[in-house]
Amino acid sequence: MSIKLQKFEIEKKKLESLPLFYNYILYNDFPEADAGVEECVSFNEKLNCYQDHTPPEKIISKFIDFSKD
Amino acid sequence: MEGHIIDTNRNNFFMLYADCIPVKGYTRTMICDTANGELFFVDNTYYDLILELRELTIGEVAAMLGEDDLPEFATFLEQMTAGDLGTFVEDPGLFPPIAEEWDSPFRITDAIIDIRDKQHDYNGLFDQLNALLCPYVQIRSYAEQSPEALNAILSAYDKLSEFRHIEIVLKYPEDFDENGYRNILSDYRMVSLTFYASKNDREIAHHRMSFIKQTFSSCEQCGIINKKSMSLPGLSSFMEHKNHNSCLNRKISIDESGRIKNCPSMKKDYGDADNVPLAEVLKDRAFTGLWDIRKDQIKVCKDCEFRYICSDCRAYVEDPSDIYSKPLKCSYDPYTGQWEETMHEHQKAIL
Repeated sequence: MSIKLQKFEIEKKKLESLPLFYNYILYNDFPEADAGVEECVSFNEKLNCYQDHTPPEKIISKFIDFSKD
Repeated sequence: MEGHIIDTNRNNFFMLYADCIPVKGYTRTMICDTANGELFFVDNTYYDLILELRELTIGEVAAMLGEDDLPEFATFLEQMTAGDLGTFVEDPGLFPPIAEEWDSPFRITDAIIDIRDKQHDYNGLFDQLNALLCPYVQIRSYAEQSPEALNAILSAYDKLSEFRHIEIVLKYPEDFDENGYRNILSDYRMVSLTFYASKNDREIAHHRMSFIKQTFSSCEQCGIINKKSMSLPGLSSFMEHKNHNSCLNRKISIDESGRIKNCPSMKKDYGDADNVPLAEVLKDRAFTGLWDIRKDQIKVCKDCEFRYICSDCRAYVEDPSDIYSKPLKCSYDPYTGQWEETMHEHQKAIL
């Protein structure tokens, strides 16, 4: 499934003052639920949204010595 | 030229951005830029200067310094602004500090499941962890796990996609079936695989399958603290590290025998996971009490400038009779500012 958002009609002058983030949202394509291995997302029925599967910011255990290898 | 930045800002205040937080250690001060994940180190005299600059204008601070110090002061201000760590303001009252608080909607933020020979009740464990809203799970296997064996573990629970990430650390098998493991990654998008005891280091499948040469035989090899084990200082992580125990906070573990612990390396257990609900263990103050051992309370660590980005270890400490003693496997000496190269010899001496 792919969702293509409509481009809103916005005055050019107003558009120039909007942050880039706003432009990003306007043209964003959602990744497909059944995309390849590289797209680490899945559709979460409970939350009715796509869930991004990314590692935690915090190290869970200090098992691997990252100063080696 | 050196005084230019002082002259043009004589009536202004210099403020570090609220998310650039100075941490004073015994030998030096670390400025933690939590927005950009960068660390800067300055002499401790600048820590006192940073505090003064919150209260006094640049002109007032310059008047307190000797003529010889003014070029250093100007360089400091230039370096701070060039590093995007702060700015000049007219009214510092408009820029209050960030509240030093941390909380999470998750009752458990991460879990470790160790496996060797015993087959855990994976459906039961995953279901309980999901009910506790745990987003991250690490499975550490001290034995080889074929793709079929991994599939049996992961397919035991049909809501696995509700976890954000499941990291599996496992032994590199002699008959490595790359396609089989690739299928695991394809079927379970939240999973990453790290193979240890590999002949080569490499990463494939966009970092979700990686290989390291190190080898592991038990949880006793955990607890390593060195430069590479420091956390990138995001604001949430920084505040959690400052207010709680950065390793044990909101963590629950199942050791290879199925015993519930704060961490698989700790001696004390809270019963068998087959019989005791994880949620019941969270009611035990002895279990959750360890979550709140802060670095500011730990001997030696309280003088370390890395204390709010270090993930600590309470399982292996220099003095096992003192839960507030320094992590045994830490290779940093905050009193000299040096990282030890011969940490393992040091450990042997203590043991």
